[in-house]
Amino acid sequence: MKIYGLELIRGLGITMGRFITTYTVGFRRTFSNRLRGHVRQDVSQKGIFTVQYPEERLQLPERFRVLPVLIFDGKEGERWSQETERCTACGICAKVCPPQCIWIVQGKDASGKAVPKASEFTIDTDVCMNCGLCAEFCPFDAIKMDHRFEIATEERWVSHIHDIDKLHVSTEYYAKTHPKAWAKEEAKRHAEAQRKAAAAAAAKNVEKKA
Amino acid sequence: MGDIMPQWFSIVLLDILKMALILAVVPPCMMYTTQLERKAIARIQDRFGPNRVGPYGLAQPFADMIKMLVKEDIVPKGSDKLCHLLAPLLIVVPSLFLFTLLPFGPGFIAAPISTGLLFFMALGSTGTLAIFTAGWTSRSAFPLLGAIRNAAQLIAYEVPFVLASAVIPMIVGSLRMTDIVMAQSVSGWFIFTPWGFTAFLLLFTAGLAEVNRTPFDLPEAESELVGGFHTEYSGMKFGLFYLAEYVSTIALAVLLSVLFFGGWAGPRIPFLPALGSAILWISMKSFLLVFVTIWIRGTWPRFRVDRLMGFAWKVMIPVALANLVGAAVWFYCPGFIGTAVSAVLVVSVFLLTSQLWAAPKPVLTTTWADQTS
Repeated sequence: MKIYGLELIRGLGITMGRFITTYTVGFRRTFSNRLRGHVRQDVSQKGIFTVQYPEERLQLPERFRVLPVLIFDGKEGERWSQETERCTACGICAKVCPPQCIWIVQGKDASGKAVPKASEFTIDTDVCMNCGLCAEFCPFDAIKMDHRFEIATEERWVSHIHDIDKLHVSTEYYAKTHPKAWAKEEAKRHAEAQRKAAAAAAAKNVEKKA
Repeated sequence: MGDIMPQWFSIVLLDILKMALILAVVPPCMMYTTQLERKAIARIQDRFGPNRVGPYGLAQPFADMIKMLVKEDIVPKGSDKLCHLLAPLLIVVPSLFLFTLLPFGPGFIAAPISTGLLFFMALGSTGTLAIFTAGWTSRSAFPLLGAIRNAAQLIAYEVPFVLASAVIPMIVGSLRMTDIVMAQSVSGWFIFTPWGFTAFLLLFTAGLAEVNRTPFDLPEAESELVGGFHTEYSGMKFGLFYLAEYVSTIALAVLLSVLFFGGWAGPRIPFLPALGSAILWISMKSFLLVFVTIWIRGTWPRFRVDRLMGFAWKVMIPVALANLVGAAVWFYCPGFIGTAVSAVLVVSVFLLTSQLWAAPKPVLTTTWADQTS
């Protein structure tokens, strides 16, 4: 003989357990919606694991990529200039870009002679597909993928075309969003500089001997 | 007051005041019941629930109300316009009317009529008329199916509902709500007697079916019938159906706390007048019962139509009948023997009927032509 209804009562017990767990686990969260930076989405998590997005955010992975940015050597809040910008207008990014959303105009100096700097650099963000090939191919570490994903706008005719002013971010910003990649690139640049210095010293020695 | 205005006028004025009080208190209660339901079910499912509007989402019901009010009112082209309009009104008025019959404190009852319990049941079952009107006049398949389900459900569950509640007037000797509460202050709450406990379970189950709450929400089964009987309603007309459902649930909870949990009885709460304490006690008891309906909604799946009918006719009615006999035995043989006999009677009938109900049906075997040897 089977007694009916017992499993119904057991089910009520399970849901009540769930109900209570949401209050006992993360008890502080019940009274504070402002506790940030605490990620509750690992497998062992009990209770509520909702991340309340505008107030709380998950840590973005470093290689998360949204829309390319141009890098200039400087601090945050500074404006880019032809001296500090890294881009040399070589055009590799525009060539590899699969949807062809990059336009570059080479810069000129005061006398009208072409210089290895970009004077205009435009990305149509509606066309960009966030593949990151431009950043992969850039030999000067000048174009990188960004982390800013909250880029919704109310119109789409002007603000979706990013010009060179809008694209430029400082190295400081990039170092902050991509600490690992930044450290690697810096080490590489440092080694390269040392190698060059050593080579120059060797050349000088050869000159002296000769 | 008699010398200033005629007597009939003061009576009418008093009635209008009572109605105004009910209309002022009950809809906000309903609004926050929906909020509680959304919050509690969210917690059961490890979510937060609505928490954006106001602190902890407390202004959410007002946002919902504004949304309902400004939504476009769509009336199907082929529908009976007048009846389509009348159905939501027909369902709301009786459900609010139920509150006139419920006592919230000593002497704090809008209509202290001597047949309160009977009238409550009569009013409670009129909702089906409105639901059928809604389903029929929408001129659409889903509402009609929902309405037919509701009619069948009401016919099935009204019988155990009445049979289960019949033990109360049997023991108390009165259908008046205040008498029922008074009797419990003498003999103790009826929930602690074997027949009272059974009647509570039966009434709760049948009541859930009557107000179309889970697991008996077949008439509006959103996963099967889109929205059931209110599929073709939008805006505030839909809101009225929603209101009626929750108001009926609250009324059922208050009725059950009056019948089985001693009504307004409870230790006097300090710093409150006697009436305030009574109202607070009955509100807390009713709130707990409303919470149980929400808890059930967050837990149990919906019944299948044939199982729903089978459960009412094959299990609940026999148990309710056995409970009537048990109550009589308990009344005439007080003490341990009566209690034991009535408990054993009810439990054995339940075990027997549930075995019969759930007994495996004979399997129809199909013989295929090529298998005959």
